[in-house]
Amino acid sequence: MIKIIKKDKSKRDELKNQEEKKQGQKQAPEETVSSKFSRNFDENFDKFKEYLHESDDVIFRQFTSIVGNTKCGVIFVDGLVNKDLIQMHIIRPLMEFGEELKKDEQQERKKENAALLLMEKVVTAAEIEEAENLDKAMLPLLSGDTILIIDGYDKAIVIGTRKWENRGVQEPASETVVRGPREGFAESLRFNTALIRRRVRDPNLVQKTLTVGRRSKTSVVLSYIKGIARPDLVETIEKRIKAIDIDDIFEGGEIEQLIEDNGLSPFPQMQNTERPDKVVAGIMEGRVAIIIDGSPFVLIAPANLYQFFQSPEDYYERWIIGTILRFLRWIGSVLATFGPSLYIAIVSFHPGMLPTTLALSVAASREGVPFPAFVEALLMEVTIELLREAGARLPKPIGQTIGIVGGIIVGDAAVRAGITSPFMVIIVSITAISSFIIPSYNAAIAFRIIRFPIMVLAATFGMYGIMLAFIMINIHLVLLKSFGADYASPVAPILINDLKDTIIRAPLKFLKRRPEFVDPIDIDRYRQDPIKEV
Amino acid sequence: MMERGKDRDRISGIQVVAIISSTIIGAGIMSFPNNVAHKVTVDGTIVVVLSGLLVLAITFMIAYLAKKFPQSTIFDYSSSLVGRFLGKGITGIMLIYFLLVSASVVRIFANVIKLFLLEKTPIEIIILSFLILSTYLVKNGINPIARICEAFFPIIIISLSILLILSLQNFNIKEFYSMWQIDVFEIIKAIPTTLLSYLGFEVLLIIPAFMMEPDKVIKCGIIGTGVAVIVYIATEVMTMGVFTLEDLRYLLYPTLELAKSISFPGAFAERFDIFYAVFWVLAVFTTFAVYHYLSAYSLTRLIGLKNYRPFCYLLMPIIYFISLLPKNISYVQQISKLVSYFGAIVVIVIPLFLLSAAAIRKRRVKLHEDT
Repeated sequence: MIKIIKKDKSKRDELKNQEEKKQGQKQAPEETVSSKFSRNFDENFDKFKEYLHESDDVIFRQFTSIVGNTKCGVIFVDGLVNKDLIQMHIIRPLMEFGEELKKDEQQERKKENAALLLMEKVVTAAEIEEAENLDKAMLPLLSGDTILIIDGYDKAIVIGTRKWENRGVQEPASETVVRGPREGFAESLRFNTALIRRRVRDPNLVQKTLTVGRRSKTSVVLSYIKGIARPDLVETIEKRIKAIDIDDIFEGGEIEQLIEDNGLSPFPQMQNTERPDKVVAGIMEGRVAIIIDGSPFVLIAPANLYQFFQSPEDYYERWIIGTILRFLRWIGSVLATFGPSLYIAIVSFHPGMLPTTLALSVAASREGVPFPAFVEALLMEVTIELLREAGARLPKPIGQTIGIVGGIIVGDAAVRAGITSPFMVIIVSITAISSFIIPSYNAAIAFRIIRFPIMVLAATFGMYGIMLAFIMINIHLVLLKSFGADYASPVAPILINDLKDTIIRAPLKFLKRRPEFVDPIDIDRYRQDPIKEV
Repeated sequence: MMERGKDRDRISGIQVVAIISSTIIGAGIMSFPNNVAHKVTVDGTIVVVLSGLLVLAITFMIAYLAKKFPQSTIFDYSSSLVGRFLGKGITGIMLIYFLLVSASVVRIFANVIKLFLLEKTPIEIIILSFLILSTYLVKNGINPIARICEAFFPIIIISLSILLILSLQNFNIKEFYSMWQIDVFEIIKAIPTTLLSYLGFEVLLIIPAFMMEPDKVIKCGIIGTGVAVIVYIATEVMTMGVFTLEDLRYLLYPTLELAKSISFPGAFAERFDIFYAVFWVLAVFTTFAVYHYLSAYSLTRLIGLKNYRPFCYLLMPIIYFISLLPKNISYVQQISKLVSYFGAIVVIVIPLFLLSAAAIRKRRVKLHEDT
């Protein structure tokens, strides 16, 4: 997969280069000269204006410094910057201070060095960088930094002034827990990386920034711990992200789909979460978190199927309840996937499987139903998917009303009208509830979707059809890879160490090693039994 | 794991165990107490136990051969031991055997499915659906097959154990009183039949070549066969304890009948046989996929090519037609008999022949060095 992308990319680059060469024979040399800053203030200032004068949110401010009457200018994007900082630490000192600097020093540094003097002794902002050409200055400017141009200096000074409105720490809406931290990620990248850094004070925590998107220039941060995560894993992920050549990235989901191993599979091959504790747990296992600017969802790769059945709470509560909850989720996923198909198979092929009394009452309740079991089940399943989708898109209070109207009134009316049997309503409700028990929304979607093809198989082959579907799903899972790690991993291939934290949640005492399926460099989680040590 | 990612088509020791066990436990587990009952006049448990031990011995012999020639299949070492021509002959015999086994497994499977689950569906459809599914798996190499075996093996073992434990309610110890009355002659006569019910361990002739740790082959082979032998003995004991010998002679699929006989006070489900027919699909699938792979692999080796993938597709129609050759169940049983004879050649004659060839060659080399 990587290879293919790489090949495409290199080919595309070649084409681009050729094109550029064709055009560039006239334009290129001029451009390189012009994009470099000169010592002339007006020339530099106009370069920015040339690009940005049509946008009213870009503010150009020109003034004169006391020191040597030097012309200065600041450029910033309104709304992305901290205006107080610009006022107090850039413009004000430049306009008011510097008189007290020694006259001879001013004389000495004179024109061309006035800029250095100003930077060193007058500007009081904390983050300062220099950019020698327009390209280098443009990205920080548009990200919220301020550009300071001083007459006589051939570089633009980039001053860190980013600040924009942030939603603040809120409880993650898609993953609520009873016990555990309630903070969630927000849309701002720095804020999100800070949430991770605050939990891991390890100098080996790396937060590496990449840029994706030809036009959007979205920042993407890879977060991992050097010494736990395998370098080749980090390299693979980095390569794949760098190979993305797209104009704009809106959300992490797009990156996920562009870099995953099998884009056609219904199963998600990366975890996504709004919870910092989940991300930290992931990078502590030697996995890599991918944080995308503008999205509260952080991706964690690689993933295996069984991680989608885990919730942070499993570890915060005692192991018995963690284990029982996992069993519940297993049962839930089986019901969500096979529930309606089992009904179809039993009713239309093997009524003998039910105890006689139950079989009789099922048959009696289906007596007035005009459709075969398959049509009945399809009808009800589609209805409940409609209800679910309608409820999710509407404002919360109305969503609940839809739930009540749809679930109770329509369900009851459908039974009374003789369109469906009460058993079908039970099956459909249980299926819907079961699919909510899977903690990850994206994995739950997979189970919801594969339910429909299985229903078709059950309608044609009965139990045998369900078994065919089961085998097929298993083959698919066994073939699936997530960044080199086996997707079905602790079960097939068997990794006994990982099974302790997959099917059950063994007491923490026994979870001494990190999951092997990621193959971390440092496998030990903790080395001593705290109680024995005391 | 990452290391496995680089060298994809290799299998671990546990995977070898899973492949062997799940290959042995396949179509035969449903009917073998019936086969045994035809050969004995009293309880046949002792025959099953003895032939199980014999099977373990043969497994040891084959694994020993595999250990002597690490990283190579029987096709490699047979041609280096007895020459290219005979080597090709052995490959040919193996190919025919694997094809016949694949076809008969899928045919028996289709018959049982039709009998217990889908009365109205033609067996052609059942066979075809199974073949398509297995091709989807097999074309991806031995490692995915091994992982499927790993994933299904616990399900098969757990469901079978539950079945055996549940049928304890009908167990009657009196059936075993006659166990020691069996005479030696009868045992000797019955052992070949029971031995051939255990067929499946001959995968050890080929798969050790794909092992990551080839020196573990004997241990893994013995464990893999041992698990299957224990399952077979337990099944024989339970069917014998629940049914009488006469019953067993008339019940074509005693293990499924065992499931049928289970009942619960205040039952939540009736007809457990359908449940078990369903789990049995998994057991047969692993067996069939392994033989499908081995057929494609040996065909590739016979022709002398490297990439076996196209042959998975090519074998689909071939296995399909072979499996449909027998007109009814009695013809199927005749084909099974033929398969058994081939099986005897493959698991006993060929390995013994190769072992002696190896011994002679060794001595010759030694003599050569001495002089």
